[in-house]
Amino acid sequence: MTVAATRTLSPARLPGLLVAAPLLLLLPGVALILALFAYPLLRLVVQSVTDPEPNLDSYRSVLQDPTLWLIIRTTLVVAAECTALTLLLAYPLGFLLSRMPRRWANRLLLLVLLPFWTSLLVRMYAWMVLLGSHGVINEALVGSGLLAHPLPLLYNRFAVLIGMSHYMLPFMVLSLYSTMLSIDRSLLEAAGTMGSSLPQTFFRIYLPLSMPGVYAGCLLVFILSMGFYITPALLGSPQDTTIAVYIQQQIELLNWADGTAMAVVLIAIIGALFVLYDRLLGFNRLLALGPS
Amino acid sequence: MLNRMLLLAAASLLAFSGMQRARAQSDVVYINSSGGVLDDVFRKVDWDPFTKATGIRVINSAPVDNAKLRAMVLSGNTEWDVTEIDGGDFPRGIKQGLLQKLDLQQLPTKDMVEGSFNDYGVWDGPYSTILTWNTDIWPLTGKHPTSLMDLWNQQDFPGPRCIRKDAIDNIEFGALHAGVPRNGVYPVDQDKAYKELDKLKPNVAVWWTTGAQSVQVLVNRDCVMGTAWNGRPYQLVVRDGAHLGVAWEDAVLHMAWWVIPKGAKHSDAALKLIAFMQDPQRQAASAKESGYAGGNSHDADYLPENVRDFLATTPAHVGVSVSANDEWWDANAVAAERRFTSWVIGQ
Amino acid sequence: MRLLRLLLVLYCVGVFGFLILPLLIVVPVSFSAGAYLQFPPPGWSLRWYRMYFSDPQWLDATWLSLRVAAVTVLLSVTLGSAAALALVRLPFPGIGLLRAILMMPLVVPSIVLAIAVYSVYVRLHLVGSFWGIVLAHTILALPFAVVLMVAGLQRVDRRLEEASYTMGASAARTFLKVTFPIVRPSLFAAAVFAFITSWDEVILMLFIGGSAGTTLPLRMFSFLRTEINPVIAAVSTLLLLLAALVFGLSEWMKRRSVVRALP
Repeated sequence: MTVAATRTLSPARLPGLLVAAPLLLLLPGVALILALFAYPLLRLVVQSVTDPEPNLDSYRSVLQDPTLWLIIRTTLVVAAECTALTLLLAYPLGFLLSRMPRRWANRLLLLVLLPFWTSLLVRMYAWMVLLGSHGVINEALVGSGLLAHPLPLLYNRFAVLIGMSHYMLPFMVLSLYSTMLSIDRSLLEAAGTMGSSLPQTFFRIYLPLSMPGVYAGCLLVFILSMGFYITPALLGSPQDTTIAVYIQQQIELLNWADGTAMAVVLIAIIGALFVLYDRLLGFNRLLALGPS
Repeated sequence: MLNRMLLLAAASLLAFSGMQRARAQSDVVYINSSGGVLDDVFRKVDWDPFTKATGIRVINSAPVDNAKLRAMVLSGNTEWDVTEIDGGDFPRGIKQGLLQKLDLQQLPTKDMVEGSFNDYGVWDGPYSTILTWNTDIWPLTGKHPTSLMDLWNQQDFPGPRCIRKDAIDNIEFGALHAGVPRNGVYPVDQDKAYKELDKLKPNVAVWWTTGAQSVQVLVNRDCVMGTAWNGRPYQLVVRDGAHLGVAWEDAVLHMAWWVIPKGAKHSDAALKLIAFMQDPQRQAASAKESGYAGGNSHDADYLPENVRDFLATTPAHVGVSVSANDEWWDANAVAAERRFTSWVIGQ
Repeated sequence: MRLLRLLLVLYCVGVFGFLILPLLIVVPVSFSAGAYLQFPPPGWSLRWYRMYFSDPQWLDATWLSLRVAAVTVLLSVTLGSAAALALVRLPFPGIGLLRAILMMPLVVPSIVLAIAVYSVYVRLHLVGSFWGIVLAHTILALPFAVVLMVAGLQRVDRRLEEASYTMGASAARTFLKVTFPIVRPSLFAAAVFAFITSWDEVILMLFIGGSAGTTLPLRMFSFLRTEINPVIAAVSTLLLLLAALVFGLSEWMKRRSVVRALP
């Protein structure tokens, strides 16, 4: 992208403003984020080591408490599981949509976005009604004689993953779809005519080409999953307590020191993931949801 | 042409956002409480009539948030003139200098229950954490749970339980089950309490986190018995006909308080509003809708028996309850919650 | 081959079913005669819709949410497009840092952000103010707008624009006739994401909403803390209806424009 853009940069033919003031274009957004986001956050971090008096006690106590390590591990595991499940659900859907006529694909994409119009909170209670031991699904299974006893679907990891991946699915589908759209169909057809079998074509050609979308979607879903608070609290068991739930609890107790220390730990983990991603795959890939 | 479009867009944007910035006016009071149905009841019973009587508008917000209270007082820009405050947060708020002293002369103190007011606060809605169960399984006419201690009684009342995912109340229940007398619960002997909670844990299917969830799990029949704040089953049973029973023995009684934060911009109007809300008839009317009564000693006179059966302040209930010790909780909350979290997460 | 395609379609139908499943509960429950979330409902009534439409607090909250979301969409899409344009077309040293700054709101959980923003807002008297809420929502929506617009702008073939200039078209005309049609889907997607981000934000609003800023999700949340009644399902159903209307309208407009475009 960088090379291409530099090469075609021909100031004479561009509207003056766009060339003369690239900073002007970036400035409002960046300034807004610096003033109302970065600055308050920085203050919060400073507060975590100075409130009530300057020390690192809360970090020490946070990092020494085995329970908190358990919570951090849970957060990472839940986010990873949610990402995997979402990918599993979204990949075939994105594939199908990208092979459809654009008109229909666009309509179906709107359908994918439909759940967003229902508040996350309401959806949580809908899942409770659906997944409970006497919920709609279990009653149907037991009533039809398929099962003798209701399945434990609610208040466990399963319910948390269902609730979270339901929320994340549209993000993943959109990310995959835009990459898959740019994959040249004739490539696949060519492979077919050259005698390559369908699975071969898929694994050798299609899958590698769709990987940018997979990486971008997974990173997005993984990071958003780490911040989930309402879903694990309402649908999970205590073993599904995540960092965000814990932070909320500490803040309510006015235990800002531990709460913010934990928040800084969370931000550090996510930041590390970003750096890792950048090293392994290049940050450009995340931004380049589309073809690059 | 683009310029004109931009101008037009900017103008309509400004018109569109025509929200009134609340200015510091003398004829208004900002009150913060739990929100939801409770606020709707307060609005109908107290706040709108108050505006009618005094000309002072009441603007409400929710929810109760101690972190927010602290941040606004420390910043010197106090949004709330009155706020609710619960449990250990009350003594903590006093200690941290977040609250104003009240001029008790302005309150109808002679009609108020002893202990329902002090220098910094007035009872809002005292509430209890009680036992509630499904009456389809154990009808009120037959053998049914009568005490919080029946949480442990799998022999007579088998089935999954739901309790709150919080140390508050649960460690008190644990201590009581270990045989500690009700008046000796504080300071809580946590080692003893957790020995009992260990026995309860295998039967706890749901750890609730919101008031709504505590009764929804019973209505959905995910659990047969659990703990809840008394107003929740009240609203479902009396208003909506749900099949739930309640038991008060060994319940934990909590105080919620109306307080005036330091730096409140309309503290005179705030005190007036608090005084207005002490009227026994109005307190009875709001108890009828919410299941939470106030601190006026006469409000019970206006309440039918089926309502009093659900109130935390009914003397028969107070007599068999433990009163939460806010000072103890203030001093021990962080450590107790940390221990609880470790305990509940541990397999 | 055909079997594989059938399996794929079936799988996708299943995924769609999963997406729609909660809505299949929410819509019927909104017409329930019962007073709490029960399924199937014990009877049918419109009482929750009546309650919603007769309560100024619900209506005010809805109206405020709509206004906040609309302005958030405008702001975040404008700022996001501008930033994306700079990121895509004008590489200069240090851009990596600026890009990282623009992505930051995505990686910090709302609860952390909420505490931080509140502590600044309360000093600036922005708590509960319309613009305070809008700006905070814009921050949350901005990364989505940037990501989507970068993707969209990268699809624009620069040669087309240059051809347009060569043929004497003004910058504005080139933008409207060449660039805009290509990035329109991305703009639309950015707008939808911004709208949703603003529309469903609870945790941040708990802090910065104040007394004047009770948005719909905030009011819903304060209800859910204490009780669940079907009025919340009714609100959600109305939103679905709104979404369907918007969808229908855009379909209708598309058809009309197709008809007009015919010779």
